Amino acid sequence: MTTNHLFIGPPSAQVFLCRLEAKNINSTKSVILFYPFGQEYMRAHKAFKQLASLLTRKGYDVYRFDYPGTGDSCGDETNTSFCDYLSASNLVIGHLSSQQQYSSISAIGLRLGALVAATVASQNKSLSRVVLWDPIADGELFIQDSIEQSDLKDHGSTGNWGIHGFPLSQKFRQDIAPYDLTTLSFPEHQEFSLIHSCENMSTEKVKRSELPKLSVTLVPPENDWNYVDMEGSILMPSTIIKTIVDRF
Amino acid sequence: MILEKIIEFGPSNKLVGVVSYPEKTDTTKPAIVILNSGVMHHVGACRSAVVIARLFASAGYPVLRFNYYGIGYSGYGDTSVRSPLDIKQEIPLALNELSKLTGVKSFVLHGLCSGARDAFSAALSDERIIAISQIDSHAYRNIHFYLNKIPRFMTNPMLWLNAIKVRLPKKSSPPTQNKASPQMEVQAWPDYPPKRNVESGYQKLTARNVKLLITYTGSWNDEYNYENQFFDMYSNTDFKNLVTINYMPQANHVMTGHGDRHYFNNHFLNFVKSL
Repeated sequence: MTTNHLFIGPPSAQVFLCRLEAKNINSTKSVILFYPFGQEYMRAHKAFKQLASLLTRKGYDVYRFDYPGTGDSCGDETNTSFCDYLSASNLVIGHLSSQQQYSSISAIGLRLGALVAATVASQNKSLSRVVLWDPIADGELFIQDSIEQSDLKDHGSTGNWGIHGFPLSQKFRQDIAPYDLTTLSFPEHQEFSLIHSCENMSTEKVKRSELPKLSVTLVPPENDWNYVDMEGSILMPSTIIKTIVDRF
Repeated sequence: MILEKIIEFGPSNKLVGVVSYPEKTDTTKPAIVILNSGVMHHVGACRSAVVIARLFASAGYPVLRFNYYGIGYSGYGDTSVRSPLDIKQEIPLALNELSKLTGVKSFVLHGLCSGARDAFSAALSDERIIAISQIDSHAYRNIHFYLNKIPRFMTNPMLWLNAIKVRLPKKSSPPTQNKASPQMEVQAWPDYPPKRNVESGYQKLTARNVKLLITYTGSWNDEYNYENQFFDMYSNTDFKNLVTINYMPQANHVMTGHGDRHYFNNHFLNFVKSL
């Protein structure tokens, strides 16, 4: 299995991209994984590695990338907005298309990543399938969730909220508020899967939406992406990962 | 402007990391290597490794943050470790690579928790390491620890309640989903090695004049609860002027507070500038 790590984009705004090649074949199918926000990104990193590895065994090239102001990508969390996440996602999709002729490009987005994936899918006909994994359906629900997770003591005078050690800027909150994956228009050929570990306002909203060719699968137990301890425990929800991989 | 490059190194190029280069590298200065903490990849808790790397590169120091085998973007390799004080084999490979890339000959290692213990073990056997920064490393209770703890306990009814609660059978509430869930991959940490072994290690380091930035946070207060406990834990060692203690009882282990991280990073930078 070959892995490539690279920065794409201009030097002042480079985006970290990891490509895991399909096992044993020259693949024409690819999947892009969309990370969640902040602490959830750290907590999901190993699960995404596992998911990527399993997808390569099914013949897919798998791409993971860091949004601006997160992980290894350029920028500071306090200066990035949701639009920057979308721009970086489009940059990655453009990079894939320019590097290799894929017959299909799928997207899997976890939590906030599901909102990012769906939003870029509405702008890109090249995406054929979107998996919404424990999604956050809209910007308001993201802000609501962030309020529940935030540490008021760490808000400071900057307008940034501290979410388990990750700043959520006022700029980001303002920017994300109007986004709602259930009100977007999608190309007809796209397929959506909702794979969730629990019922909540976001999943209810997605189920009521008119997303094209939507399939729904509930895979308990609930994944708690925001649990934090001092032992460095991480979440490895094998059952839901297997369910996602089985869709491919 | 800082330049960052992804590097792949070690046997079969299975180890992956990111080097942050200063505008101009002064090879007489040390380079910084940031180690993994548990299974967290090279971005570090709360993205701390990235922020530290960029801060130090801006100040003229090359920085490498990388993943051990099996962590983050690194591939799988031989991860066998024979004892808690054995050096992680990936560390000398990282130093060799950084030296090859930058021409730098001396290093400062930084680690949190298991990374702090790895920095200590690596420094014992690698003379290129001239300083280490440890956050929440080995800690051993001593008499002063207990003398400190008792008055705090007596004057804080919440601590009594907690003590009673943990001793009662847990009938009132079922285990939380987190603790009970088979989906949790819980880190299993080995016990600390005997204190005499660690102290012997610090004696070796001080004999070599390795400088130490020792940070303990409030999350370690079950083992470390006053500023100079470090010196009392290892009272048979003459640390000369090699140790800088940075006691941060208000901070938690991964420093989720922005102010705590900012304070630590500047403290760490000043420590390295003083070398």
